[in-house]
Amino acid sequence: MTPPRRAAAPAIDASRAALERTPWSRSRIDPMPLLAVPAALVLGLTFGLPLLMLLLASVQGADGFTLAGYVAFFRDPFHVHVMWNSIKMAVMATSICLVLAYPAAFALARSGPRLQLTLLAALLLPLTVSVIVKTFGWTILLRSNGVVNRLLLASGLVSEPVRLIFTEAGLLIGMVNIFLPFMVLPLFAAVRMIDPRLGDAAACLGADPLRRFVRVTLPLTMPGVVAGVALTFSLTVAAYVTPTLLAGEKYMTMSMIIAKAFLFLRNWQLGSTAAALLLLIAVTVVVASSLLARPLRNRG
Amino acid sequence: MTNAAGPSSGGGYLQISGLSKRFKQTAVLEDLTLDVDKGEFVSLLGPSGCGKTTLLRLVAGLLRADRGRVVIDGRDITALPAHKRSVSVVFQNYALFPHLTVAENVAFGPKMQRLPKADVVAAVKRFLGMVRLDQYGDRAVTALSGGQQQRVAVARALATRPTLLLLDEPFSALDRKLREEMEIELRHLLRELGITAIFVTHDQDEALVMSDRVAVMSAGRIEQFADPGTIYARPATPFALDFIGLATKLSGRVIGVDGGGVTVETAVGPIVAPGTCVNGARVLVAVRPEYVELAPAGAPEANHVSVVLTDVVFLGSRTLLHFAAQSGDRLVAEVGQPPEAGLVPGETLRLRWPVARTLVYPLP
Repeated sequence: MTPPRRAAAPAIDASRAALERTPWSRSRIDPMPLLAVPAALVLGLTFGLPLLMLLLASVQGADGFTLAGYVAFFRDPFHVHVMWNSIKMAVMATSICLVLAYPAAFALARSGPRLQLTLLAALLLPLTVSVIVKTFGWTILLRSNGVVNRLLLASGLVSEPVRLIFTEAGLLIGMVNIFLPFMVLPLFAAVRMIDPRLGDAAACLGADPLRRFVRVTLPLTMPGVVAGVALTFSLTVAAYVTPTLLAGEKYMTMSMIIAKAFLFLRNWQLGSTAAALLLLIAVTVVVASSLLARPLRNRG
Repeated sequence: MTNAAGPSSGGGYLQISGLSKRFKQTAVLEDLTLDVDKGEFVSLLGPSGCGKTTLLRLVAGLLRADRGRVVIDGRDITALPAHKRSVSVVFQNYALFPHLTVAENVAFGPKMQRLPKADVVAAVKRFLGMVRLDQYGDRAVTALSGGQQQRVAVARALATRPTLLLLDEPFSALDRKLREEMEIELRHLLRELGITAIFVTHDQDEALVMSDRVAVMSAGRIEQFADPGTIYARPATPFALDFIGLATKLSGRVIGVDGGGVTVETAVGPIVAPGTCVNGARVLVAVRPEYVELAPAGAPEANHVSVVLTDVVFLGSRTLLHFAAQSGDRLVAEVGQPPEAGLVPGETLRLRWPVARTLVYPLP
């Protein structure tokens, strides 16, 4: 290249850059994110603001900031027991959902188109039925002269009706039934993304079925496991209708404490404290599950 | 091993005998027998649905055969699952593990073989070096180009030190130029390592370029198993003739048999071919385009036909001339240089080809 040409190049570059900058350079704002503004406003006003007020109420004393609400909550053994109930129930329900949903997600993802449609419909149609209706259904099934007990008696497994309703076991059955789809769907989405030939490739490289699962399948389904666990846990830990109808006063949960504090006791501090704690538990599990999954996902 | 297809049978490094596979009611492979020598590169060439991928999966242990045996180096592996066969596969879509890095993908096989850590590291270094990806070990496989992914797949397959390497159309996703480079590169690599390989493809050029021997497959059977030169010059069946390269094909009836030759009455005139056929039999005669040439004026001899030029197709190093006979038969000739001026479509010309280069096949 000759010297005069080289001198001309920066000028050309500058003018080209000016041309490319023209359309949006005056505002310097990318218009795409602006499309989210209406939704963000609605969410902020109807959800973010009340949530903030609620959280503030939990630390609002007669004379400014106080943690008295939290101290009082944890000093009461009953409240601690209720919090433990909520966490235990959510952990158990989420674990059972995960164990049931994991193989189901593979069946769903690997079945032929017609069977897949049938299975998906079977999974999604119950979601159209209100939680209240489903829970009432379970109260009918689980009561001492209900279908479950009659079957147990007829099969000779038990000699007298088993107490299921208003027990932890009965609540667990109902919770798993109601929240199982929320575990299956994220797992199904993750499994569907996995190329089935990866299993063949691992086999040809000498991996037995167990190591194929641990080294290939499990890490690749981890995003689905994390999403499913986070979703199911946050739904079960905060469930209100199902525990109220299936367990009632016998097995109090955080959501029931919150409702009671606001509706009957008119104790805003207790209600907002319990609500803040419930939120903290759910957020902790969601964040922790994705952090815990990270090393597993990248394992070689 | 009574049904061996091809010149060599028995005593091969890889022996496939009487292999059959049905899916529901359809027979995909029918009593298939194939012998491959150690260090040989064999292509399974055929159209989609001919059973070549099924054969590959049966050898890999990813499918279970209904009947037949697969023996590698004297060891019967028919009943072994894939992970106990030490047969590596390079898949069509590469099937790289997306959650692992390039180095971790290559390390997968050695790790499964429970090699000491130092040996795993050494294997990764060696095989990534072989495919010229030493600098890419820490990259995510999803960040690589198609050609690089293909090389990772080859390195991963070789790192297990397999007794047999299977390749399932590994170049089909690459563009033509890159594919040609990769073909030659892979061929060199496998020769260097002395790896026995079976290569599935529907691309005749790929098969001819890369293989020591080619097995032409159709409808679950091997039509012909021979070296590329023989496959091209002496296709064993009309299918093999059709599938590989171009040819002029004329159907007719044998009207004379003498010594080592037959005379066939066709719609374009009598054609003489070497071979033995029953007098009166229906046959197909054929000739490759490079043996067909323009005949000088003069008395008609054997294998002279009169045709009309329909198309001149310039292909760079060669030119194809397409002709139509009055009977409607189509003929094709190849000339090295662009034809001299004056050859225009519509012109009536005389063609000829040597008797020795005429192929003849009995028709059912």
